Amino acid sequence: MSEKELDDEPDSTDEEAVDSSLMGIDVAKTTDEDGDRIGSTETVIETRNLDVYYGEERALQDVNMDIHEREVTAIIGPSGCGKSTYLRCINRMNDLVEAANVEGEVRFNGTDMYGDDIDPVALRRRIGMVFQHPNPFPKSIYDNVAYGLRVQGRKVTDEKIERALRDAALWDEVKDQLDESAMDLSGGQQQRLCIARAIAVDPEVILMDEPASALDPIATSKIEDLIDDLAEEYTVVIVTHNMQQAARISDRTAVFLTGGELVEYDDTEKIFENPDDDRVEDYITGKFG
Amino acid sequence: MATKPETGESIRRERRFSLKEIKGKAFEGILVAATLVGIAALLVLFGYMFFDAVRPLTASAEWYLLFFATLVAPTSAFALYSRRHPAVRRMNARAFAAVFGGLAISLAAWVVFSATGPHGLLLYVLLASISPLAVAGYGKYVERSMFVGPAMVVVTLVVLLWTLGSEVLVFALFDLVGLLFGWIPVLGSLRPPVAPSILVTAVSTGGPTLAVLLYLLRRDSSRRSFAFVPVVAALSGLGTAGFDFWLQPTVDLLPDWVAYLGLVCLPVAAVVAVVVARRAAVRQGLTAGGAVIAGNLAVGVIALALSVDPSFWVVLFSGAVVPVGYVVGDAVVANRKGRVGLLGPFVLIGGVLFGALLEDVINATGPDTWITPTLLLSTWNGIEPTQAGAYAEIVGSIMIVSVMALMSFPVGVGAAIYLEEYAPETGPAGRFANFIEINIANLAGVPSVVYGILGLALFNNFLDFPPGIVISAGATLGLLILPIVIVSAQEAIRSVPDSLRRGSYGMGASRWQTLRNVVLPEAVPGILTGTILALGRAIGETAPLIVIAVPVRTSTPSGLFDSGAAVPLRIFASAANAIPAYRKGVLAALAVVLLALMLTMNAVAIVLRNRYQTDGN
Repeated sequence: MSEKELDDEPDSTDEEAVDSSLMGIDVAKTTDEDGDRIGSTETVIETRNLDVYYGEERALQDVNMDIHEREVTAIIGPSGCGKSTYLRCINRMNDLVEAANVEGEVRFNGTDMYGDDIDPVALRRRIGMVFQHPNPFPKSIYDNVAYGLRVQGRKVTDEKIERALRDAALWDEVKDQLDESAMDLSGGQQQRLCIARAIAVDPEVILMDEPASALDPIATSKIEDLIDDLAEEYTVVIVTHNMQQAARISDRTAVFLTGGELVEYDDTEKIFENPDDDRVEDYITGKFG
Repeated sequence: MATKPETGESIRRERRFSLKEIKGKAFEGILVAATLVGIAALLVLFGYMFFDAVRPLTASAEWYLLFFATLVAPTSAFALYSRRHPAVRRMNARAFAAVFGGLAISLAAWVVFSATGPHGLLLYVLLASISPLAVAGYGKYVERSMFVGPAMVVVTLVVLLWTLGSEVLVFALFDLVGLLFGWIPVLGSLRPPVAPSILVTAVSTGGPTLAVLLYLLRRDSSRRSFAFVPVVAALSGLGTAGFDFWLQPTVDLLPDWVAYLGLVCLPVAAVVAVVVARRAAVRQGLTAGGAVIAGNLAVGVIALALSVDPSFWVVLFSGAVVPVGYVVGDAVVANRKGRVGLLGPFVLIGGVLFGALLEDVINATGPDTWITPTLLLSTWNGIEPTQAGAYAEIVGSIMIVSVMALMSFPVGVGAAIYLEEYAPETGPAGRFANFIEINIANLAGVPSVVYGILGLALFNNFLDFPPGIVISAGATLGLLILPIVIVSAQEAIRSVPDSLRRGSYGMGASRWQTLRNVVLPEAVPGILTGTILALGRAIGETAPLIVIAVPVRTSTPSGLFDSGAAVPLRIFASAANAIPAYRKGVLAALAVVLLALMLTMNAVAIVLRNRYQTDGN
């Protein structure tokens, strides 16, 4: 694909979704009618010169990135490019991998979250996470949603459980079987349960590590709609393999390439329509990755 | 698209019996033969033993017919019926677990309690339960739940350590210092500066108090929770000093059956109350608990009115009738399906009773078996085989197994949890942990007699325990199975998927919360199975018991510090009896008893495992 084609692309921000010249996929618009950004410009998470090593191997190099409040930030890139590693740095899940060594700075609301006085457990209570494969606990649906509240020593009320399940668009399907095992749900329902579980504790940020990659297309589209809704209240960071997905649901997109390098980070429209970096264009158009 | 293979190899068989095919068949045949030989050898062995013990050929044909009609036919019919209906089958399994599990546990409890006397044990239970309950109550009152758990564990351990003879341990500590540093003049002659009882009291009161104080200070707890410190001090002080003086004489005054009520009925009532309250409401829980106590009192009063000692019936009621009542009540109240299944065990028991009743009426002669009430309930007689009984040995084995389980389970599971969840994986510490892990696996194969030597050195020689007491026998065998328990618990913990752990951490759970709420519930079936299978193996161990000088005795051990007795020891000792009937019949019967003990334990393991598995899914 040539530069010429790129330039031919009409500027079509006034439509609900625009056709990208790069892939012919829908890109969610990031500005409203007045041209203002939908999300806030407040930065929740800042990373400065972040390097991560697994033993000798360098998984992230010098990543600088700001994640904004109440926006969906998508992280895309080929396998092994460090996007999940980056996500795990945000709630210090890398602490659980003994060989991982994190250097640089990650700030959450301005506080260095790798400081000596930071309790990673308390941090994870404010930054929820949804994983690639649905991993509900082998307990009842109710207990799954209540789990976070319980471990955080907060009061469990039926209203909180119902609200979380409603927010995760699961309530209508499970309201009559709250006492039944979560393992009996379908994969898509399990993943929405995991999302309900994460939002039941009212985190400020929700991290999602390829939340739809193990699901069928219908379940995937439900999850995508859900993420859209969640962005009204929460800051969502989503890692995905699926570029259409990133384009559809995110406000900003970060592209990592092999070697753990953040190549480009910008508004989703910009990334998918007119990326600055040739490698990003090659990746998005499917020349590699 | 498929194309013809260019090599042109045919897919048809070359010949009907090619060499390749014959080789394959032969290999399969050898494997089948190996399996059959193994199974047949075991079957012949057990069959022979069973034949000797039961002597089935001495029964008349009428007897077989009778029991076929009253026992085999109805039970098989019921089994066939319940096979077709899953709800009935589940209910049947629950009823069987309640009836036979309850019977097994209450009988085992009864023989142990009646050997040791209920008063001493009641004192232990009071000592070990009052302090933690008080701590829990206080924690609820001040609405601080964080340290209730640790504080409860600490006070319980303190009290138990005291009552189980921590004086011995204190002396052993000084002995150890003397042994290791004897060449340094001052340290080598170090002795407890004050009377050991004062020292132990000081340690066991001061230790937990300081621990709670430090804990509260470190967590910057609220001012109110510091009221905990004197509570813990008072409780551990009371537990270590007061109860011995005040409670022991009072407890000794109680009639036996009242002591049994306190020992068995109250804990069972409390468990029932908690379980019911959790599933329904607090009021129903209290009602259910009250019903258990009322039923027990009724049994006691009825027995007294009939001038029978109520002790046994009280234990049997709490241990067997209550679980059955719970299962039946649950099925009726919750209106569950397949309630017919509840009849299963009663068809079996009714068949046996009815058959026994008719036996005399139609004059059928049963088998002239060696497994008789005499064998199970009387003491050993080395001259008259029909008078030989192994009651003391059975009681001793049950006591040893209980000690073994109490010793190896917490230590083994604790070690497994540490190695799997906490131990570092990298660096020198990681290599050390790895080294330990490998060696634990190797220890599982060390011959049992070596563990006997270990027990001899540790308990008889170093700690100066009297030779062959129950606690050193149990602890020696506990050491023997410890590696097996650790390895199987490790397997169980390892098999819990990592994604569940990550999910829990991602929710902001600490390591301990993840372990308690996610990992352990998933691993419990595996841990229990491994442990109980190991216990089953150890119940038949003889060599270590001989090495630590467990005597072959005819009276039941009266406590943990009395010399032990064990079924396998009796078998070993009597194998040399000159009278052939012993070698031909009595020993076979004893072996069957030993197997029955082991199988009962395995059955309990299976029931527990299934319970947890159905809860989990």
